[in-house]
Amino acid sequence: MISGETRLGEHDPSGPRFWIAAAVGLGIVAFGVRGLLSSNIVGSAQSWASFLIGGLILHDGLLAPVVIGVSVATVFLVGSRVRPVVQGTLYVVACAVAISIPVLTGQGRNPGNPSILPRDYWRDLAIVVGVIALCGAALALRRLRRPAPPEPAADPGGW
Amino acid sequence: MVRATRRRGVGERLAGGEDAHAAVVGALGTRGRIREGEGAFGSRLHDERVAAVLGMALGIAFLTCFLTGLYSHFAQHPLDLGFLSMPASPGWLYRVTQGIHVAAGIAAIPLLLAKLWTIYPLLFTFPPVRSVAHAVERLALIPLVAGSLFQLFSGLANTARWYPWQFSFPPAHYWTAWIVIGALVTHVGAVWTVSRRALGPQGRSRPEPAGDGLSRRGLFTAVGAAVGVVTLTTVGQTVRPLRELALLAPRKPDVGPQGIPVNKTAAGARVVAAAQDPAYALVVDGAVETPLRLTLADLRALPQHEAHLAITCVEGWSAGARWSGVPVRDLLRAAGAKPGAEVVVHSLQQRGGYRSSRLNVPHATHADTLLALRLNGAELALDHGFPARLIAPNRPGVQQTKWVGRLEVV
Repeated sequence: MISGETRLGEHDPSGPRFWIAAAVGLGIVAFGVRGLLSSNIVGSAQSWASFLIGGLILHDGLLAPVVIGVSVATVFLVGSRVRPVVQGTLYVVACAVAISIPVLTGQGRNPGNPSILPRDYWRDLAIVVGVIALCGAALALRRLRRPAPPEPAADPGGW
Repeated sequence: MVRATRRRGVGERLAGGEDAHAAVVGALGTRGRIREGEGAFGSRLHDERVAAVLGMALGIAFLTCFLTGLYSHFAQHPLDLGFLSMPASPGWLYRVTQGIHVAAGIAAIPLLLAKLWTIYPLLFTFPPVRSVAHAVERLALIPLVAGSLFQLFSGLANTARWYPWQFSFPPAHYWTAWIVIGALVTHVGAVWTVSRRALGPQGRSRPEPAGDGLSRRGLFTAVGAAVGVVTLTTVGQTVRPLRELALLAPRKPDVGPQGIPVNKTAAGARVVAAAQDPAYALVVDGAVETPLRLTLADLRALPQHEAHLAITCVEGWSAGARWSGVPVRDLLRAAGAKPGAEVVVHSLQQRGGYRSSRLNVPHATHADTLLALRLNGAELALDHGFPARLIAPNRPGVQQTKWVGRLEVV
């Protein structure tokens, strides 16, 4: 159990600072919504709303559970000494893949304009992932070569 | 906490006759933090300090995106409120701010993913609402999280010219930015006290819970590495010395006609015939004493000026080049335009967006604002705006009107 004061989300907001921030912030939100409705997006507001809510559902309903599943899998499949390195490496790889999705679709390509998406992005992503994996493997090897540490103790903090 | 003996894995436990549940729980007990009685989210990284540090980094990235985004918006939709008019110098300003806008947005992706993972357990808070303030805080998370995902996805897709939606990107991205920033203000107000405690010396020196997964420091290292990877593999589209590393960027800054990328081709703009018409002549009219009509030969015969200026696309790439042509202010003077006149630059393009742009006074009078005829010493390629294009300092690429047919003084 995580000790008392560090539990996430246990502290309820209160006080004038919160209420002023809430009033100002929600006012800005209303300004944005009003601007959106009065802009020329209005004919496709449904598309906007479905992307907005769709992103939320996709993240909370699919991506996060998949990440948790992968994390649990590393607990089973990877020894505790190199597990942090494996988890960190997988996360960096996932980020590289995530930012590559739009270029990988190739949807922006235009036969009349070869200056758009000029690369072979599958090959280049493979290179990037390969380099990340090599770095991860080097870190893992370094950990394994060190004498086995005593049972991992609590981090003394510092960060 | 000291544990001397190695605990057995699932396989050993099953072989030893334990049932599946006991085997899994027992094995996890040694390896992960998902021990019985600990709740569903066992990682020690679902922690106040992790959330605060990532949140602060993300907040800085979002604020950077918001401010540079506002600058870009008002560069394209001028307010024209005196001192708020877009300046023509320094000429590199927009190149830098827009490069930062896109780079900060890309860097925010690993930050947002890590932050959302850290706070994911709070989605299942029970009871869902404890007080009115708690309800307001949680409600504001909907526009904050949904808007953040929307902004980063739509912005990234736009850089790759991928439009899997029906709405118009610029107003959607602009107005959703206000929604996100508003929700962020509310969120910062809600977590201020907790974050100050977690970020201060007390939070920094507090020991982190034991466990053998990724540590707090390890997570921050991984997030830093991910930010580094996504930045280094894309930012070379605008930072020329890093171009060889830009393996995941949608553009190479030296690939395109005459070594410069193109956004809209002549064929795409349907101006091929008009731009190549031998009868082409530039018209300078509107609020002038003597309207001008200048053929391409006339333009070439006028004194030429050379300027080193960058094409800076809102999508985050930029490419510097050597342009030469006739300064717009020379043309205005020749036509007898009043000092302090503004100019609407019209393309030969008949249809589509961005076929005209406006030069405010600082831009219209700047020596480097050219009706360019040549690029890097050669005649303009058709896709770069032959026979003549506008090129001016500190200006988004969409306002560097190509295939210019008319300067309308207003």
